[in-house]
Amino acid sequence: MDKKLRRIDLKKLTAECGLPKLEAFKDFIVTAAVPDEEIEVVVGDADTWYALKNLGDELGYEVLDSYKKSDKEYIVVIKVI
Amino acid sequence: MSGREIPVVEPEWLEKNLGKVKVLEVDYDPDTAYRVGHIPGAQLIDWKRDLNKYPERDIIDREGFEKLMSRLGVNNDDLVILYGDYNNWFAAFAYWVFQIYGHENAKLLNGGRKKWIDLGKPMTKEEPPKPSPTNYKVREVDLTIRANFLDVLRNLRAPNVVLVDVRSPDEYTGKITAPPEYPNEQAQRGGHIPGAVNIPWAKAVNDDGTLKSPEEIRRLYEEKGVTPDKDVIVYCRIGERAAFTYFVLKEVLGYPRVRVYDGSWSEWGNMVGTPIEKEA
Repeated sequence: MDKKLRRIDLKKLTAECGLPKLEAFKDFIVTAAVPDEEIEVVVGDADTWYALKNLGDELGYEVLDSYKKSDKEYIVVIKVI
Repeated sequence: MSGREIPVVEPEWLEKNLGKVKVLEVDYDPDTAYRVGHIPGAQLIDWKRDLNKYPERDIIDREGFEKLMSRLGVNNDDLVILYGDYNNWFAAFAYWVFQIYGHENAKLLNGGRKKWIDLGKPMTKEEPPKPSPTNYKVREVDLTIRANFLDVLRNLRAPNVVLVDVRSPDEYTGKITAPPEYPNEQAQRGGHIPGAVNIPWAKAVNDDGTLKSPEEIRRLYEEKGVTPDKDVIVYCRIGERAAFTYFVLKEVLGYPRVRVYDGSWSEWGNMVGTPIEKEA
């Protein structure tokens, strides 16, 4: 069965759940995901993007892809372990 | 604009000069910034631990600053380059503390971590070797660039004083009582200090976090009545964004009298009996 990639905008998620960006990422994306789920995370700045690319070992996910889409959109595709 | 030098270095300059200058990363959250990766050779200043005095709420004292500089291997005359997370807010706060303790040879990295990473400049997780302690001595303390609660209270509506609230419009109007970056840190009341004008700190920077041109920035402030003939007091929530605007007004535009009210909204908005304005 094909896996459907979920796309989550971290800035919107932060506003909705009332948490700092990386806490929201950890609590509502990584922890809430099912094992093996692949998620495309959209962030608005290079600093957060860099953190997401490098926190996989610590938080429990693999980075499948990461790139800058535009000046205001950076993408990290993760697979939750 | 006179030919005054703005204490800012560009990423390209810093990359060429790594190893020749002291580079300090100032983070609010080192676990998601410095420890994930930093500029090679950069030492860490943890804003909460290193620049604040405990148990009081205050910046570190003279002795604390001397100890910090010694631990970081900084000598009195060293050129120090500051940069950090959160759009350089806390690096700017550190810059302001450096000015209070008379370390004038300090500069900000334009755009901070964000721009450095965006340009694909080198990063490392490797901690630099522990530097040899120095014999750093503070030669003078300049508290004329700091405003306290009473300074603000006594100057409310004073014609020669302008208060600049650098928070977001929603914080200024009282729609929210904490910024989106720190949603758990609410003040008791929302709004702003009476008479303050709202010029969010971010208006002075481009999307990539680098500073706009001095001409653009001057226009931005002068249009709101923030002119160099006034005594300017800047505030935000805890002083970090205000310190960024202090840097812009004092160092980019050369305004002679700029003070940071670092008690900011977390003091004013929680204090019993202080006057507050709210507006749409």
